[in-house]
Amino acid sequence: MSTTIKFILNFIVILTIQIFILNDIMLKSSLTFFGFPVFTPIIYPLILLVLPVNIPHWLLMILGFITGLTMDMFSNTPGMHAAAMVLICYLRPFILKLFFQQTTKELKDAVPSLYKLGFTSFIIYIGFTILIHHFFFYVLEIWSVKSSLLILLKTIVSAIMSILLILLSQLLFAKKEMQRA
Amino acid sequence: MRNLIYLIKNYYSFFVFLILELICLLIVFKNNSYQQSSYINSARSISSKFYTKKESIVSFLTLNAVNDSLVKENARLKQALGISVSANPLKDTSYFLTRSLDSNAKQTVHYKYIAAKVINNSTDQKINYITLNVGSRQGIKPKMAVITDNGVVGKISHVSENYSVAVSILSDRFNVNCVVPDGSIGNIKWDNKDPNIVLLKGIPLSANLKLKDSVMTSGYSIFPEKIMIGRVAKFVNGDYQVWLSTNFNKLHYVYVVEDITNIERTILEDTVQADIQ
Repeated sequence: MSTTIKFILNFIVILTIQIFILNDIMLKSSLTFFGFPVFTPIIYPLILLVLPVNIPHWLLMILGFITGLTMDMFSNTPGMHAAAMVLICYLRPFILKLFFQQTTKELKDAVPSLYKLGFTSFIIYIGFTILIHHFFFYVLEIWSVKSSLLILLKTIVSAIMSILLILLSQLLFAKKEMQRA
Repeated sequence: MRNLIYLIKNYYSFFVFLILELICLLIVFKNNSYQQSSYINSARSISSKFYTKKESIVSFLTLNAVNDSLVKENARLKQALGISVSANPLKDTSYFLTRSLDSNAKQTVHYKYIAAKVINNSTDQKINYITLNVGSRQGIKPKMAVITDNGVVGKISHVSENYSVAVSILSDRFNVNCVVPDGSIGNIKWDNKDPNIVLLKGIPLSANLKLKDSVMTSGYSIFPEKIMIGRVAKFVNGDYQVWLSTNFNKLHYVYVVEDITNIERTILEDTVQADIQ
């Protein structure tokens, strides 16, 4: 499957799951009892995170911008998802450099999936990017110094949920590449 | 000049990042007040079509709960109108319709209720919007109040031809004027945390509020008088926590309230606000 078709399929499937299922999920009501803030798991950054390593940097950022804007349209947040997406798309090559010892030219179109990176590296890679995304998003959304504790709490709680869901999706769908390798 | 080109060539990704990020932040800070956000209205027409499709699938799952609430409300309304319901009106010869409108029921004539279905809803954001499947064709205008049979929901902020968007009371900067049993007037505000709890401010200690006292709308805001908001749940340093009577996580059908006599008042209030600004 070519990368373009894979990206478009990912885009449609993951955004559908995000918008129609995860944004609606009622994890909220049960968790608020312990004084937790309301939150939703955000897994759509995965669309951009599993793109090949050698994709041009500018293209990655523009794709991130488009994905973020689509998400914004459906969740009534003006530009906040887009801003967070552009930030993590800019930071992605630098974060990947920490895990791949080879240069990006040698790796060509390898996909940074769970089995390619290994379990620990993948969790750190996903965790780092998701934390940055969530933190930036909630800072923009809540935008007050008074509730900085709320921002941190929301970031951590929903990041844990998002990372778990992303791991689950990788365990289910990224198996093929291990057999080939 | 050559140095400049060299700089751009080497750090082009940073410049692309800067430009895109600036566009995003421009959108964010141009639209951060919900009264004047044009972004939402333009986006609605595309996304609301998808949400209608989704709602038509999902609404099947909630039919039971919706039916129950409608039957309950029907019963309550019949009680309020004083229509006596006998077991079998054909057999019962003494049956005839009695309508005893009391003064309260007459007052509601000023209000026109438009039933609407909720097709999208959120409770986890700073400003929460509810999308309804009625629009300007059904006579919806901005600033109309939205209620359910349980209590207050919000007010209409954007209207397109077939859809409208309401800001729910679970929003930053959304104040509702309310009244407690002894007649003191207070203010209801959401504290951005729990979708079941709002804060009640400005009630003097002399009001002597107790737990489970009901908090209703005062009629000074866009909402009709004596609509339930919730019950007092807790006393937290000077303010009260109010447990909302509307369950925002299970919102299916709502009413948009048009106040027929209120148009003159809102026009006057709007001109006053415009003068201040």
